[in-house]
Amino acid sequence: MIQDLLISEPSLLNATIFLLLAVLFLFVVLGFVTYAILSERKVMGLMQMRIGPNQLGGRWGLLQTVADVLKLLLKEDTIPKLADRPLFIIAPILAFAPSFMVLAVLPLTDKLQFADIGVGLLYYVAISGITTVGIVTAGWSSNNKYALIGGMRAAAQMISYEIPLVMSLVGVVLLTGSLNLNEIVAAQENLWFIVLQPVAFLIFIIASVAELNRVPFDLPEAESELVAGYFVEYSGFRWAMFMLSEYVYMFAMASLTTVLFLGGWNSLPFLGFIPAAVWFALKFSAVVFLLIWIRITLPRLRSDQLMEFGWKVLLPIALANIMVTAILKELFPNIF
Amino acid sequence: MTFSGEILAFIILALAAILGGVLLLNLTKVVHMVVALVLSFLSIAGIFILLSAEFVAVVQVLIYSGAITIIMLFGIMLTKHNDSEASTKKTVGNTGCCCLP
Repeated sequence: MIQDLLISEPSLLNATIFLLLAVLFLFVVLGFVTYAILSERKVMGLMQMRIGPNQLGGRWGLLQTVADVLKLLLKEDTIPKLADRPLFIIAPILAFAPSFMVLAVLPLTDKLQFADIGVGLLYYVAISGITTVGIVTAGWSSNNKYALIGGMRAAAQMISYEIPLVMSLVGVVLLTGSLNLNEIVAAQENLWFIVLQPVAFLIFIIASVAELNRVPFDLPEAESELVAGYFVEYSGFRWAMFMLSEYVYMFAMASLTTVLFLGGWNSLPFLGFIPAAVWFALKFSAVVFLLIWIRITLPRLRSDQLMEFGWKVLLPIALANIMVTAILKELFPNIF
Repeated sequence: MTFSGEILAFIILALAAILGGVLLLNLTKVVHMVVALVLSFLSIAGIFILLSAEFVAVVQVLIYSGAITIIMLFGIMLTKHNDSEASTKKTVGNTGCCCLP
């Protein structure tokens, strides 16, 4: 259905349909964010032998996040007197808009995708880089030293870890011969790339946790050092936009991991009768669980350890992976 | 030349790019200028997409979003951001004096 829309003649009707679909998708993503936060709190609770939210919405606390969001929307929207007002208002938008823009290229199933552009993979990496500008802007315009330190750390971390992230993907691109996400999924019909590119998968997971600003790489918002990092001065709806962009990125990054390394919507052998959407959802949930698991298991790194790890460990391994992949592809063209 | 969606998109993007450039020249605070630069670069990436040069557009965003963040950090760290107005006036005054024989 969407494929027909994508190749049809551009018109006002076409634009309206896409707008409505995008709004629908936004609500689906908001629903995911609501229950991702709940499941994160639940899983973290169970791993720490606590119970987690269990008061609101039945035994599993199903309405807890909804209540939290309502509280946030009702809170007073404060702007500090000495803050740089225009930038303080622009910053949450600059941070959130790219997080929703990257969702356009992600192929969720063979029929559900919003844009099928040739350089989909690069588009994702490029657009997600704009968020850094929003975060640094937020840190500077708050006129608060903790916010500024958080913004600086975010810039350093996200630029350093973008490089191993992209370099680890070069192996996948070499094997596929394309940057188009649909073709990358099609190339994994028989064998997933996690089998052919295990090193790239490890580097990608580590670098993506750093890009998502999650523990163990949550230096920009380290609670015990910086209060809340770059969004200390934000409250109410603007604060919610920063949190929302973080969780939308989690959705996007988990989808991207599924598409690149876990075969997208492809099924395991002999299990093809299960629909593609279910396969995608299962793999996606597994990646989200992995992200939560990493968060609850590991302690936070120090700032210099973070930089050293990125530049001296991840980047050389990623470069070596590219070399080895290229050589293997030349030697055994049948397998790779 | 007929009026189409492409022309409309081009006009919007071109105006945004020029607006970004003009703001970059006229704003007084360094960080504001960098944000104007972001607007200008992103609009140019949009114009590349209109020309069906997706790769160039994406690489433009990829390279410049990192570069702009670094420029912004330099702007924050290497300038005194509290005396933007005063310092501009002083520079103008200084050059004026230098021009006198």
